[in-house]
Amino acid sequence: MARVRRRSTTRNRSSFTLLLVLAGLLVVLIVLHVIGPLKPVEGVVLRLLRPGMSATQTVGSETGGLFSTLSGIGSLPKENAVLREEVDRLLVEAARVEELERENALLREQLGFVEEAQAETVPALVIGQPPFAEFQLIVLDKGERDGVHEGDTVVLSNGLLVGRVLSVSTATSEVLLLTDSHSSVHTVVQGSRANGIVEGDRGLGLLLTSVPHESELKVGDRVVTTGLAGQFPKGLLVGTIEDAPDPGNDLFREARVKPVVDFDQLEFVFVITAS
Amino acid sequence: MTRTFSIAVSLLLMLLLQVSFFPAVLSYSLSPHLILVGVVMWVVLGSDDVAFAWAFAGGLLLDAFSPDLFGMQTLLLLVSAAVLILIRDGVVSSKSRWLHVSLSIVGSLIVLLVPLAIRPLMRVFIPEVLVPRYGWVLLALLFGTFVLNVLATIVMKPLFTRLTTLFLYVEKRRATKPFGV
Repeated sequence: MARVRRRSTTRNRSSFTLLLVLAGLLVVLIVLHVIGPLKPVEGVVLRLLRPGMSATQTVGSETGGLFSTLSGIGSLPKENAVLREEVDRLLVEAARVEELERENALLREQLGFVEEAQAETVPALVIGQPPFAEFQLIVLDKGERDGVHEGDTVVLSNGLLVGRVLSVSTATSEVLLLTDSHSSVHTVVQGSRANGIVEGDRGLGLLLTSVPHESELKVGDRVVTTGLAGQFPKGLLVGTIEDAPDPGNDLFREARVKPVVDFDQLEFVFVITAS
Repeated sequence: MTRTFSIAVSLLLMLLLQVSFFPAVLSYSLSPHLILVGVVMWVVLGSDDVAFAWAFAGGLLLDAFSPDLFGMQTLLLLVSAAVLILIRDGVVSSKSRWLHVSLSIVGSLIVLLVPLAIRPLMRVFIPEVLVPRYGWVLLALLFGTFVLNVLATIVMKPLFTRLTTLFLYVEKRRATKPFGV
């Protein structure tokens, strides 16, 4: 019995020596990270992990998609009818927008306006979603060598705002999603032209805040970026107003915004690298 | 060598599942903390050195993805490993049927709740620290991760036990054939 206890004590002692060594090594690594020499090594590690992450993410997405298809079979006919209606409405709107764009271009030409610079985009695959309950992040398979920089805007192909690049390594980048509680974007409501700030609601949705009390907010109104402060490009669709409660005696109004992007099903995005 | 290689491969596999697979399958980026589950398993199986090495390597890999200060995940996992070893040796009987579940609960509490408590304090000294909005939504997400951790521990236990048995078998065979004949 005494021998067993002695052996256990010796084992514990050697384990805690290892713990001390690892803690010391961690301090050295933290210092190297802060000074900078560790960054290339981190880049290499992430680059090596990239293929594995990409494959695992694909398998995960397909598995998740299969589950959601199976669970949603019952509601498919109803959803289909709603989507058909939406497609018809969007077709009409697209035709109208095309006409307006042509008219706009013509008027700009006549007034001698300089053509707006087109945004350069880098297509990127979502290869991971680090699961930290406090942060809503995605990892992209494009990094510094592809021209991605910290602070770049990330969108879906059709101009729907996804988030902003938080950090970049050589071959990968981390994006803070719009739904994260650290995200905020200056926006305008298309119907009433009311300005406000859209903030992430801890991964669950979006909140439109700081809207002047007298502004009119209607359910279904679209909320787009204003481009103010150079944070995000102008005109990116953020979502639609879902609920706009009466502000009572408050100085500012608030509304719940329904995101147009399904942040749980992100697979392919675009990084706006220059404008 | 085979043992170290197998442990390294299992660590990478668990990391990929935690970072890429589960968040894609489950909603709201929910995923079990499989690196922590690994630490719990090695502590339960009595491989303390492996538990520390696993916590260190897994923590560093998680730190590469974390928007937190570099080293925070590693430190949390190392502290968890140390606390779990102390609990196994002093509080819960190492022969208890529920040892893995108890350790998983304690480990999850450390890894999930400690950062929430210390972040506002850290912000006083380091302004770059991101402090989340505290509220019931965050609590619900943390609770979800907590439940997933416990479930993952229950599912992973037979796998880790078999892996350890395999290592012991290989080592025994090598010992009986020292020259590989």
